[in-house]
Amino acid sequence: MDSRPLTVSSTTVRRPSSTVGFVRAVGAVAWKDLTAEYRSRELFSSMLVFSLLVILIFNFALELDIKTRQSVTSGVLWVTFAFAGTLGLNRSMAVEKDRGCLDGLLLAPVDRAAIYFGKVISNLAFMLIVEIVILPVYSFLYSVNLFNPGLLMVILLGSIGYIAVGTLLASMAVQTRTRDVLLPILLFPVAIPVLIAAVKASGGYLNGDEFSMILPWINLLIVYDIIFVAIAFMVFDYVVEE
Amino acid sequence: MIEVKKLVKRFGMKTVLRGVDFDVQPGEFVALLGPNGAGKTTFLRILASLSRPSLGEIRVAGYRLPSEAAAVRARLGVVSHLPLLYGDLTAEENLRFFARMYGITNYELRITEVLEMVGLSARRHDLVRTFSRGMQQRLAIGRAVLHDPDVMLFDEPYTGLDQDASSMLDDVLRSVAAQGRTVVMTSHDLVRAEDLATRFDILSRGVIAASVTRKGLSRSNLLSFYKQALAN
Amino acid sequence: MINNPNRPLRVFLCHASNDKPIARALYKRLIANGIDVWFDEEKLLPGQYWRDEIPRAVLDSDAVVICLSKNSVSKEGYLQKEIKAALDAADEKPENTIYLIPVKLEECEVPYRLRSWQWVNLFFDGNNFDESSYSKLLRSLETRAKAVGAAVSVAVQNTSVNEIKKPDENKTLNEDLSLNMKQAILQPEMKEPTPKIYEHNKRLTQNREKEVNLISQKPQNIVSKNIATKPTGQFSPQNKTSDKVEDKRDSKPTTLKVLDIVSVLLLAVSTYLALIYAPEEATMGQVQRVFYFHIATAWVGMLGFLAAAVAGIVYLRTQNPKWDIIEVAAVEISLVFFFITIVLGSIWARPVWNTWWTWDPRLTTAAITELIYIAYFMLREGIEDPDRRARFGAVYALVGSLSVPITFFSIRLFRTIHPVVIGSADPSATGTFDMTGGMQVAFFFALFAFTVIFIDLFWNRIRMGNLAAKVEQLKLKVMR
Repeated sequence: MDSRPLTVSSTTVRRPSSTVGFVRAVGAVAWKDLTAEYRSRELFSSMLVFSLLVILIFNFALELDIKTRQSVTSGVLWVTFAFAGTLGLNRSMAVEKDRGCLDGLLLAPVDRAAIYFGKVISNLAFMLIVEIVILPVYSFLYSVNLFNPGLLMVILLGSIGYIAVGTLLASMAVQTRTRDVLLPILLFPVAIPVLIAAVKASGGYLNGDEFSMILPWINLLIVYDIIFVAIAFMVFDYVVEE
Repeated sequence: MIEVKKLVKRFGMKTVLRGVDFDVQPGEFVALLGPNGAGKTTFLRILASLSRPSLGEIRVAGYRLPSEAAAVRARLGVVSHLPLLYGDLTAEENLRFFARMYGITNYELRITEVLEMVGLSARRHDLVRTFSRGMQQRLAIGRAVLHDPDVMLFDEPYTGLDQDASSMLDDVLRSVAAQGRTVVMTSHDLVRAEDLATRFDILSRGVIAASVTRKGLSRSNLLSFYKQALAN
Repeated sequence: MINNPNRPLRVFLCHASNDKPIARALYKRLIANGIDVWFDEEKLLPGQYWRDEIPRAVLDSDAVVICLSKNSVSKEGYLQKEIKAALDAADEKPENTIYLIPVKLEECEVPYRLRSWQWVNLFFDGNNFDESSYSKLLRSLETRAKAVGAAVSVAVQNTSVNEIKKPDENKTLNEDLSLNMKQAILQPEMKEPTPKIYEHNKRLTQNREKEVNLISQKPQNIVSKNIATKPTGQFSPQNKTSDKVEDKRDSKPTTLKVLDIVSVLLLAVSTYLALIYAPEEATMGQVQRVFYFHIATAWVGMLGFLAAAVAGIVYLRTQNPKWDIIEVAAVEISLVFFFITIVLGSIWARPVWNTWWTWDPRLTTAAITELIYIAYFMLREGIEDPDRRARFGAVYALVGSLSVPITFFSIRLFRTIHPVVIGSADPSATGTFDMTGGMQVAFFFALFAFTVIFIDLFWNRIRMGNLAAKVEQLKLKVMR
């Protein structure tokens, strides 16, 4: 084996500068997750198949005839997204924990919040991709038109809040003895406001309600997103550092 | 390079480290030996800024821990018994990711260099999960030296390696140490430690119980020294 | 450091703040004998926090001299906190390297934690120490100095020798101090002790002619003893009298005992007011009487919820395990009281709205809070490392405390916007009533009574948490 001297040729190690370093680290974490996922597609396929199965079960459980559909579509969609979301969150954090990669991330001279935001971006991307696939499938199966810019915005806002708090709690859950079992138990009770608001706002758009009826829910989603992104930003250090 | 004074680490009410004093000069290769539960891994995790000391003062490469952890991290390379690598990325992609995390510019050249050094150039486009344990460990070392750290920490690097893989790792470790880097390694493997290190410190019951340099140790009696230190 | 043969012996002098004058005299005597004494007055600069400095200094010393008096062991058996901090730090040192010398400044009980060490009687008459017992203390320090390779100059009997030796001693002393400064552990600048010592020693020797009182019944050879080898007989019942100090320390504070009784009485009175005194409500009948305790328990649940959130934030900021104990106490109390609230709410709902459960915002929020609490305990259950358990608990308590108000708001929004399908789920519709005078008395008294009960339970629970922590600590000590 070649063991020639290791010198730093044209390479320079930069001290992490504040903003540039932060953005670069966020990008690196997200890029790493997306590349790995693009290659294995484990997460995406399991989330997608799981979502389709949930919708299938709802079909028989709720007898989704035309009249019922009107009122329950948004609920069915959000329950599906929430379940698929926990699946993705668990997997994405377990990958970090299993091979000690979390330590690898923590050893890098970057702000811990950068790691959090990187994971949020990749988790959000997985969830949105699944949602984008599920929507047309649902429209096709039940001939409901789901292509409504308002609805897409609600889905985005709801997913941000759900993933923001979910990433924080998943990082805690993977460090416990019970691991993945714990995540839904931790996440669902604190994610209730975001689910209620997302269901009501999506339902509002699907029923063609007036915007003034939907606005309070959208405001609630935005408030929730801001509060929980901010709080996760502040406490993530305590979750990953010893 | 590393200065530790009166380091105390508690987990809840359990005290693992009870006032460790530890100094490493630049270029030294220190093997940290000790029985299970002596606090070796805890100590190394504190040096690696992954765990906070309860009391005491630590300087690594001239920076204080934990207050200047970011500066320490930039000068520190860590290899543990876990590979700290992503199985679904190729060898090259793993290194590229860590190069970005460490803020290295022109990293492509550096990656080629490192891959060559650890003997994995031919497998650079293969997924890490297809690698053998020994190859993963070599790549892990490549990952740790990527940013040309001044201080290297090895935590039981030989865990789970067979004879061939271990001797290959020896070569890599030697070439890493030959750069004038300061190295601290924990190990159970006294024979390998004796081959590699220039100083042997024995951690027992939360303190450095004994310390001897290679010069102070006549050939092949590290084991008796170790036993004696633990008996005291 | 240990191999420097000429360095002075480093001694940590630890005392209750009330014994300062005596301790100062002892400090001056010791320093005159060429011992490097850590004395808080000299070494602790203003602004330095003793809680941080004492452990460092203890770890840095070769021996710890603990001055005992009636002041240092309080009536309740509590050690003064400075002494306690020093002892805690001494426990951190590896076995056989701790060297404690309890020094009795007057006749007093030796605290439980120090029983395994030989003590020295060094009674002080206001001006002077007894010479022979002082030299005994010095001899034991000498033994220690030999063991660690440090120097102590032998006890001197007259002034002249003392004065002659002085410059030399101070040189070594100062050298060592500057060494300490380089280590940067202690403090950046240090007072020069020389002139003061000189003066004081002169005065001491002049006064030495005065008669001093000495009571010394114990063998004086001081042996470094291991905690693990201490006779276990101390835990047996026949030694009860000698453990009085320890028992007192852990016994229930009188205020708390009184509060327990007051709580029970208040609960009894409140029950009477709610069930008998308050007039029957016209439309709902007797079942309305549930209301008084329903609201009061909900109020206690809220108090616990707020206390948990505050304790969580403080814990994250200070990392002091005390706040973790408080947080768990608050969550437990809140969990129980919200549960009672929900049960009472159901009892009320059944006859009034013909259903056991209404999706009333308040009741639903209470139920979701219960789920958060259950998740909280499951999270804690799954973590071994106590620090991490506390950190994660605090983070989750914080997340929960932010989410619950938003949940309440969103359910209320849900109810107001959502068309009312079957009957009226809103308690303000059918469940309202006007409170008459008697009802008001019962209502506000219940609120008051339950607030007191909350404080009592909270206090008891925190005390229990502290005791559990202490048991854990003792277990570790025995196992070591």
